[in-house]
Amino acid sequence: MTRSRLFKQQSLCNMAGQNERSNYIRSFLRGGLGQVDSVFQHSLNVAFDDELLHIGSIASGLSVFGITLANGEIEPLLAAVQVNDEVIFRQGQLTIYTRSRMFRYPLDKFGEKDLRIPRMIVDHNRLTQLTALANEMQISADIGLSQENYHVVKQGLTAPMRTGVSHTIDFMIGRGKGLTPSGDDMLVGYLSVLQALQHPANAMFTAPLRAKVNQQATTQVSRNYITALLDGYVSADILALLQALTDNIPANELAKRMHTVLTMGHISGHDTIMGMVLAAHMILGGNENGK
Amino acid sequence: MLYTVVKDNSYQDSISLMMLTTTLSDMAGVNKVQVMMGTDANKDIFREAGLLTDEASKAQPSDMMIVMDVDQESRQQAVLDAIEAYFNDMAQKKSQVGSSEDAHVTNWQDALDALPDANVALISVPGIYAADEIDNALDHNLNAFVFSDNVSLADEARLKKKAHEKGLLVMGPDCGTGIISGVPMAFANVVRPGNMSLVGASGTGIQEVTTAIERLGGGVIHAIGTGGRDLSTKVGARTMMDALVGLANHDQTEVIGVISKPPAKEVRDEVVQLLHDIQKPVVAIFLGEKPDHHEEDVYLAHTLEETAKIMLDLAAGKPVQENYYSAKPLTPVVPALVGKKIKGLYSGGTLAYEAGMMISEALNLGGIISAEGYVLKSDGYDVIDLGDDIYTQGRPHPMIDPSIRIEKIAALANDPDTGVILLDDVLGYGTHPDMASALAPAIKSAIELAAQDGRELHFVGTIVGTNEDPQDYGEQERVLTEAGVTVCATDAEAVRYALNLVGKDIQEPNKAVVPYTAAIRPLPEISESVLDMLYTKPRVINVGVESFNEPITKFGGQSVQFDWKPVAGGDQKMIHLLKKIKQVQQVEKDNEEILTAFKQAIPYLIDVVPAKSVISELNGNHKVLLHAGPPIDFEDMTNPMQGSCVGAALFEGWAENEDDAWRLLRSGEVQFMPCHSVRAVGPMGGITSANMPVMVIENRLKNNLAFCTLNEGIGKVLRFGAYSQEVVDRLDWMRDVLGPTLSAAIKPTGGLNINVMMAKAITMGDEFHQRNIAASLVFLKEVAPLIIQLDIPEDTKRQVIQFLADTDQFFLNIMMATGKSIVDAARMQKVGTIVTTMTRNGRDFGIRIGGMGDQWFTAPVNTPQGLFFTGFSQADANPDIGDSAIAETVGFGGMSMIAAPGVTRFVGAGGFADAQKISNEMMQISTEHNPNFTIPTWDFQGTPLGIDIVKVVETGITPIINTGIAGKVAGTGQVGAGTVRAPLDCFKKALVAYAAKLGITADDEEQAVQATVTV
Repeated sequence: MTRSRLFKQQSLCNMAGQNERSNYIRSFLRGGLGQVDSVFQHSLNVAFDDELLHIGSIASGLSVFGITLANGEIEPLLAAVQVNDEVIFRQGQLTIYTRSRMFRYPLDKFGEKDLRIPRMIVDHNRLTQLTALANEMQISADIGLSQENYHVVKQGLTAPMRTGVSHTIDFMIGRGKGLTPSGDDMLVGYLSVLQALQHPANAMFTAPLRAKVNQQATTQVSRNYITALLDGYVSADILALLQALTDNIPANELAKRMHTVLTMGHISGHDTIMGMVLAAHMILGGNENGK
Repeated sequence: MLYTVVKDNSYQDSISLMMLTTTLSDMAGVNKVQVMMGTDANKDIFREAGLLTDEASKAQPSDMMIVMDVDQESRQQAVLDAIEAYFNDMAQKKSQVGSSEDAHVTNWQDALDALPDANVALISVPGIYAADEIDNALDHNLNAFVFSDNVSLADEARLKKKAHEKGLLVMGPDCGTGIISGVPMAFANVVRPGNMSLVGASGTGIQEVTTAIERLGGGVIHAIGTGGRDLSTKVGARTMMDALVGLANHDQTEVIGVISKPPAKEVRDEVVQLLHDIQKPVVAIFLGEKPDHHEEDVYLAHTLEETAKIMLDLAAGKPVQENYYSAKPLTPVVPALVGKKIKGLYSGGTLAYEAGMMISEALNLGGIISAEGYVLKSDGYDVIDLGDDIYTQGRPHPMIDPSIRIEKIAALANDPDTGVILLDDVLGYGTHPDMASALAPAIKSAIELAAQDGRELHFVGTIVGTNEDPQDYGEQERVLTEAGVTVCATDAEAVRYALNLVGKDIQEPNKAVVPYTAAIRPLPEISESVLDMLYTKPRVINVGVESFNEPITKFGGQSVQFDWKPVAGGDQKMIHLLKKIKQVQQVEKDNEEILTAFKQAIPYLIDVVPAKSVISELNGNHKVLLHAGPPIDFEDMTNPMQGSCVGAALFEGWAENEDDAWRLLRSGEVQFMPCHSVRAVGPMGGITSANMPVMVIENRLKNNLAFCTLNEGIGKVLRFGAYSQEVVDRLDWMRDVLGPTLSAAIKPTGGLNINVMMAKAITMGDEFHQRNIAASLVFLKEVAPLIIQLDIPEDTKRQVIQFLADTDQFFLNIMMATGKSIVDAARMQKVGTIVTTMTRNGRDFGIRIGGMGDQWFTAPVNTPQGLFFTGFSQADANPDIGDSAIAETVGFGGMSMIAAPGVTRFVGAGGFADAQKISNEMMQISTEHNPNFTIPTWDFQGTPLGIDIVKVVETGITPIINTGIAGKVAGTGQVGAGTVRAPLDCFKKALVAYAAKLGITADDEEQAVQATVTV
């Protein structure tokens, strides 16, 4: 076989298998020219103007604005890809042009996963259990905020009316390290629970948070997560954890799904769960320990 | 005061020399300096610069000419030191870049061995040699990326036709830039790969479009340059059309861009029709045309910026817009500038052209011109292409050297008419490392000067580059902005901005898409080689400028550096003859016959006899002396050879004393003839007379005989020109005792097999010219038992064996007779270009070649360099002399230096690596390895065999000869030992004669050129 024919085969080998895509990407991914924005150990982000597309593997979990590739498919891509590489989404196909070769993914053939936050009847026992497990796992010891700042956040989120929602959002947005700052992750965890419950407090956050995001007050990656949340979508692992807060899911799943969320990012998972714990506090009206 | 230094045979590429010249020009006390190779074209440049000194005018094309005008003589040394430092630095970088030695080669074969699956040759040799190297590349089935310019249009048309027939592409000539499979080639920018590709007849046009695409977020996988004349009627867009067919078949390419100046109508029609035949959207710009519509899937752009933007929309799957230009001006008018003129100072030709076109269209100035570097010169509006030939003769291109632009800026600043100065800053590999900083001071002072004069002067610039370029777009932008330049995103934007400043503007019409009604034809068949180039990372043989390797390897390609030198030292006549001779296939077969005779030789030492008994010429009524080298009269001999004659006359009893001997020899009574003419050879002076004993070698391949005198040992000996009583006494003893004893010992055996002795001795460290100690001992091992058995006095046996044991070089003369027997057997077939004799008489170096039989080709000898005995120095050395170069003729001596690394020290501080280097070099002029004599220290490769005059003339490498050095005053004897090169001229003369024998003359060169032109 000649080299060129071989090359043609190589570049077209990525067919849909166990590949998945978030149903949320339909809302923004309409086609066009993008660039690789960031490359991580197990995944990467592509930017189409201000919108991000996350490409991960089944192991790394399906991002709310992302797709996952079947086992074995992400490694060659990660080995070749560099920040700033060209990406084109056209006619249902995503093509990444790396320095060594191109990778083409037929997104229209990917399995679509619904990542909308469902309306749920949350079991208060499960909320108490969540808090207890978080305590047991000592999650608060590994969050990205100092004790002092966490205290401010806690006050703001457990008694939003008292401290003023805008004040809390201003304090939290962009606070902490990383691509998704800790304050942002906590907000996502917190509001995902409120949304699932259709808690009245949720509505107080929506408008000021969207305004804040539009001011580009935090990182692009984080803005994308928050926008998705405001649009009613979260990543698959968070969604799974939310679902474990209802009695439709066996109680022993809760700890397991918490562990899965904890693997998100460096400390993002910890921050997200702490946000959910603070939502539980607010709902249960108790203190941090759920007592 | 003008000073000239000509460095012989020191080839460096023109880019390195131009950069060196730029560096030297900045030195204190240096008024003018120029460093160039000694070609006729370069001499013209020197002449015009007033630097063509007598010495420089005599330089050869492969010599480096350095001419400087310095204030004080002492500055001359400073300049030379700076030159040395520059090349040392370059060599240092070379050794750092090329981690493995084999990354550098000096010929096509080695290049292909080093990179067997090479698919592109990147050629950057001087223009007059480029066509030949393109031919070579195509002959080796390589696509050619031709950076070189000055290739004739006729050659370009011929080569592109040839390439097309072979399914290859010739990109260029004068192709300054390109991208192949995402790899930047030559002077290229770093652009991310993507789903767009370009084909362009313009280098800076390609750069402007690809970098704009990169900055707008898109990517380019291929940008194929065709050279500026590809769309001429004569060439017929051959490369562009073949490249387009390739891109049509390249899956990753979804959008194609085409850049050209307006071609002739028939060529344009054909290209445009092909664009429609391709089932991919194409954006075409014929710079200078102002299109008013698009033609269904072929989008016609007016500016390079528009080209990039339409391509980008198509690539992203977006609809093409009706208009890509803002309806409003880019900036408000500056009242102080109204009525002032715009001046463009460009380094990029196509950018200048675009600027000229836009200004002319906006102001109705009558269009583009091409005169003395101006592309626009109308009503005070000037746009100059500073990369035009008239600005680059003998100085670096303005993308490398800022000086011409600095001068022009200063001049324009004084002109009260100047309102806006437009300029470009072209980034990428190969261009100035920081042009912005180099221009910034001149820009600042121009603005200040105008301000002091109560005027406003604006600078508007564009940077052609990307953030990934070595210079960094962002940093260049910062420096230029800080200097006072308004930096625009593209050239088109900069031109419009400048027009807006002086109160003018451009309106671009909307363009609708018109249906295409002509039939779509099937595309021509695509060649596998072009497809391979488009689908894989380039594997490049880089012929010429070494720095081009850097981006290739950095971005995933492979390359091998071909350290190119002009063939035959740039001698056009020789280049022509070589080319013609190489086309004669019979030559190779003929040479094969000679080599077979060399390899199948069966030399035996059969006897030792008085010379006159086997050489009838010595047995007549006349007094005859044989001498080394080609024919020479007594008066013309150097002193040591004459001294040898004196010794021989005394030995033969022709004279009572030295004075009588001198008189006799000068009287003309003694006849002289070369040893070589009578089947003999003789070391150094080679003087052989009737009663001297000679060894008889029989080559049983053809049963021919060859003779050589016996080695006399070292010190005061006849062969080095000594003739004292001590010398004559030893000759008497050799005649009366040594000769007869050896004869008695050897003759009854039926002969001693010399091949066996030599095969043993070469593994013991002999190369048989400078070092024979192993072979002499092997000989002694064979002959001593035979001597012991003789029925002669014991004392005689002892004397003979002692003499043989003491005489390390005894075998030298056996080897010489052996070599002579080998070449004479081969010489029976009068064919081919293999050297069959090399010898020297102290005045001339003479060679003979297979095809020319007994005819001598001579040139003045060189003087050996080496190590000297105590009390002697180089000043005492006699010019090269002796028949012993028969050793090198059959592949020993200097050719096989690696067999005797110790001998290399005669070359200077030589070590093992030097020995290896010398033998490797000698292989470049040899035809094959001789399997009979393998060299352990050379990984058991055989000795180099078959010096081919074609290879010698082609490479300029001449055989290196290991030799003893005679004192130049008769009677002194040997003063040292060393090495010497054969002069190139005798090989050239042989080539001319051989070519004439084949019916090839230098005259048909002109006819050939004319024939090509009229094709």
